[in-house]
Amino acid sequence: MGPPARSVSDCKHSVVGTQPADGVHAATGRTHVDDVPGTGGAFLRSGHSVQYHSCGQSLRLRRNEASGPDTLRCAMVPVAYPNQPKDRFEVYRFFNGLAAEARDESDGRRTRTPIVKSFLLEHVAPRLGYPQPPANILRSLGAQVRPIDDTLIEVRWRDKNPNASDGIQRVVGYVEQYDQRFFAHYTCDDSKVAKPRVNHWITRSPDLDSTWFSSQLLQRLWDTDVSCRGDDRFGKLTFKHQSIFEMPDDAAEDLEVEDSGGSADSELDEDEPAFERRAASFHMTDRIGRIRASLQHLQSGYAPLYALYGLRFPSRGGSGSHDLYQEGRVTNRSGSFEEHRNLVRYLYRTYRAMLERTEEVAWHRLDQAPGSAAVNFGAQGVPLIVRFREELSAATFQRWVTSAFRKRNRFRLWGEPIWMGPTKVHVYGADRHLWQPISLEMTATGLVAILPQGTCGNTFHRLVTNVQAYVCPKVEAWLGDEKFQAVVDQSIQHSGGFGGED
Amino acid sequence: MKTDALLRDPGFQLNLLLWMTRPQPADEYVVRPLFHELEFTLVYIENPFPLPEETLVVARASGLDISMKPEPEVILSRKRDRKALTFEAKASSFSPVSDNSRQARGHLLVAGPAFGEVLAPGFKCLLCYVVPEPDRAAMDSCLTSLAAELRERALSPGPHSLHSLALREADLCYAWDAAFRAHTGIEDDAAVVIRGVSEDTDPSPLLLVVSVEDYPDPKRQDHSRQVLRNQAHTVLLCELNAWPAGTPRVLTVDDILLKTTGGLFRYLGRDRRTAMRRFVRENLFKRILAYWQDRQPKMIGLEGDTLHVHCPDEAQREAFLDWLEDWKRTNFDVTTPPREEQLGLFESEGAAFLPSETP
Repeated sequence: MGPPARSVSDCKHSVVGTQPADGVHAATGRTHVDDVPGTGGAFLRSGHSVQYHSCGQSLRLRRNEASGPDTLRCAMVPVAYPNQPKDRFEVYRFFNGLAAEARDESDGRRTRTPIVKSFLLEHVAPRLGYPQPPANILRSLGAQVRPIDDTLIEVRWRDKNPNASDGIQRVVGYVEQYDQRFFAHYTCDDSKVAKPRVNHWITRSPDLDSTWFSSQLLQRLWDTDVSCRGDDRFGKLTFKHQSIFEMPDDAAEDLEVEDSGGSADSELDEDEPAFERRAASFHMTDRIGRIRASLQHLQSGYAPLYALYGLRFPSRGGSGSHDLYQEGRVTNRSGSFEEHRNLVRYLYRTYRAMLERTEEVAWHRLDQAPGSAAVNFGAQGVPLIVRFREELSAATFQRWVTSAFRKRNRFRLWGEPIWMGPTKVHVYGADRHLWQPISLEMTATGLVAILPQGTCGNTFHRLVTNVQAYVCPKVEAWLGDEKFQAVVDQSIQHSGGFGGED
Repeated sequence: MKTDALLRDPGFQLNLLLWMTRPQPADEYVVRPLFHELEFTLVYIENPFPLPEETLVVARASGLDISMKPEPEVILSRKRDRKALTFEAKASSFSPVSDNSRQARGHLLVAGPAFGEVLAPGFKCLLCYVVPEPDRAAMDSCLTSLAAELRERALSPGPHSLHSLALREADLCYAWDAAFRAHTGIEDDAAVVIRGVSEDTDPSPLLLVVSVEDYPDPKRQDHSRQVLRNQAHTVLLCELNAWPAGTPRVLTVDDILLKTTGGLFRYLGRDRRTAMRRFVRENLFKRILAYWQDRQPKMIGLEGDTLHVHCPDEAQREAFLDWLEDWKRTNFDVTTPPREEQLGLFESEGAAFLPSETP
């Protein structure tokens, strides 16, 4: 029994394809929708058709006898997760089925099978002094959870989906606890549904944050790992930079309040207003050897190519790949869920090593006193220094400062800018997501940040990520006297890096 | 902004010295990390230095006016060759007969054998006075004279060194003397520590240590207090955001200031601590009470330096935090609050406004 029928006009998503009434599936050639995993088992009968919407849902259209023969109504067919899986292997088998089906369909024009994706989340410095298991955090957000084993839980949630009018919570995926600090949310829901959900969780819970794969980290993963996976394999690099502070105030404000989960993988809408500002959002898909031969040259000629937003990892075990995006989202384009999970865990180890290294550099190597003499300068660690390789204009700088401290801002900062000059500002404020103090110096040529000792190093990575995405794509950064790049490199080596996956 | 005035400000000088201990990139520094390059690390800021028993006995018997608990502004040390530096920043030089000489005699004794005895055996210390460039010679003469005086009374002063700050076109330069060269092994006489200084921009880096004193820029006299207010406001907001509704929260002025300064507050001089306490109590705590007293009488209480917050439900908590996040509505004052003796009867430190439900 599916959810109640809704009129076609209620659906807010654009139609990306329609199954003809002859009942033949466009991608698979099959005659029943229930042949397609995840569609919930709807029959295509004579007079029926299926619409494929941009949200990834399949809508079954049928004649409504009560309304007359010409009125078509639709019913959303949700992705059917396994009913109360008894162990994690049932979950793996379900995701494996989807992965295999999606691989089979990859020869078609468009894959209709839901893509499995993972969101790598960080449980930030516990507010109450002790770490919380993911079940407690999600319950506090209103989710229903059911343990499957010691480290895997099933999550029920009601998404803000215009098609989901039933108001009941449904299974939206699973959360696995990798350690006390890192969790992964596995789901096969469409990104347009899953991303706002995860955004909602991390916005509402100061205990959760995304993992921030900054452009610098993605670049080093490309340099040290992906670019060595075979010259003839296909790679994909996604670049995203929007100089949102180069545009009029009101327009910048509109962009500030839009969902921060906006992605570079969506098409630009030709009906959107076009502001005169730098905005780069594109993919480079080619054989790895060709990309490697030309990337450095291209980057030196066009700064937004330093703002790497997404990176494709070709599978080590065969065909297929995994796409990693800056906010710690990984989509599976391989035929195996276990292989996908291996890559997510490899990225988790790399990211964890980087945070540990960041915090060690920032706080723990300082102030070794002679003998046993105590050190009482515990307030500040080493500064994060970011230098822009393209100076901001005075107008852009002022717009950045005024926008960066509005209540809803991409940088998630709170504070009162103290103007030290026309292009220099000091802020003694807070990272409003984690509610931890941060001191900032912002100038037209760079940014300096100091965090109190012991706070989460994630804030450094979020800052660098957002600076490259929205302020200046070409930057150099240091933690104290150590290049940010070196911190990243050592993290990759420390976590195993190339060939170090276990 | 008159940079000359800033160079004479002890607060600016102290923060500059601290930035010079922070590791930073060689060409992209905020303030050149001169002491970090020389491998000196920070030991103490404004920490009272207890002189050894024997020194105290001789000093008391000397008839000289000597500070018995000197507080060097900064102490640095270098482990590899057991060298140490103590710093004192001054707006100008002074003569051997001025009141400042009492403190200077104490600092000279800290840099003597007392340093190794009290802090780290075998360490050789050099006392560094930072003054405006034109005052270096006079300050050197004064310290030489004071040291001779101490030796005559069978006391053991340490060596001293003169440092200065000066603006050279768009560069802020830090200079030192032969004593510093010999002690640290540095070859140069001076270094550019801040580049790109311009008249329309305050060259100050982010303040690592703040005070409640007037800022040397006459147009921005409240600047230091504004920084302190914002830091204290930030800590309040971070603390209360982490606290769930339904549970009473008790915060003292010292809690806030310890977190604001990363624990440094407890080591600051008594006068500075008293002034900072008064500032937070009068300008933040009392403002919170005044705003909410009529609106939610049971939510906020103030007992001396202790703030009680009790939001019984999530709606009240959100309303309170929304207000606290809003700079315009909170409108915490940045002026220096009146001293206790200037306060009225009902504004005294001990006045209590406790919410009825606060335990």
